[in-house]
Amino acid sequence: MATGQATLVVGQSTGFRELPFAVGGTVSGKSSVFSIPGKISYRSLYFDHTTLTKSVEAPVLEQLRLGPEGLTYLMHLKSPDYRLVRPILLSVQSSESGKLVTSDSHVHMYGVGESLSEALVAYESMLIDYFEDLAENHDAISDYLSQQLAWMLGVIEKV
Amino acid sequence: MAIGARELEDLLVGKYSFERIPGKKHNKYGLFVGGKRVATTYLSGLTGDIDDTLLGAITEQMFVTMGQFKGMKACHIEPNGYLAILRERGRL
Repeated sequence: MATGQATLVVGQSTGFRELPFAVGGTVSGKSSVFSIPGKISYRSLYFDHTTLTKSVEAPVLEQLRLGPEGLTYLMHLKSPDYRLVRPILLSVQSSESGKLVTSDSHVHMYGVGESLSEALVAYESMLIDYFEDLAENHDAISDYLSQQLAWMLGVIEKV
Repeated sequence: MAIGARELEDLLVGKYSFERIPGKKHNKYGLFVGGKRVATTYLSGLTGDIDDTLLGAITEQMFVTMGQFKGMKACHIEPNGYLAILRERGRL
């Protein structure tokens, strides 16, 4: 485990606002200062919901877009053909069957798995499939899907 | 509001005219308007009932809220109504 800089995403009514902060440090919110301990593992940054409820003031917590389990970052791709230009923020939620569901807020891909690692691998597979699909069919997609493709071109590159 | 994987597939293809997009790895469906794809929905590896958590991710791909999806499932939103939602959200 290592520590370092990370990004907290605060949900807004129209999207997300990213606030850089040091893991284990403090973050200045709009009118509050709150501390969010976190940890960076090999593939992901994960915030524990229990920790957040204890350390974040209620009005700020309401602004956080967190599932029961929180947020994570996809830091690397397992694919030998592609690499990430920058990490992708994902929400992590538990399904009723106990499986974990990861998803992003840009292209809305998702991954399901028994563990976070499994869910991240499934997410990566769907993301790359969608990336290749839209890239291959770029002349026959709507303007909005073109925007999604542009976002993926900004985070994924061919090795 | 769980929905069966097969029921969801039937709803997308049978009522809302999504078309299966060939692929080796993933089972996915596209909605085409005016010759262009406007939405892509992945139903990859899904069997049995799909719970709200997973359904939430799928409805995001369809560009509808969970409430709107319920309306689609209950036949309160016709295909033209769905297109109106997409247009309103700037997805067409």
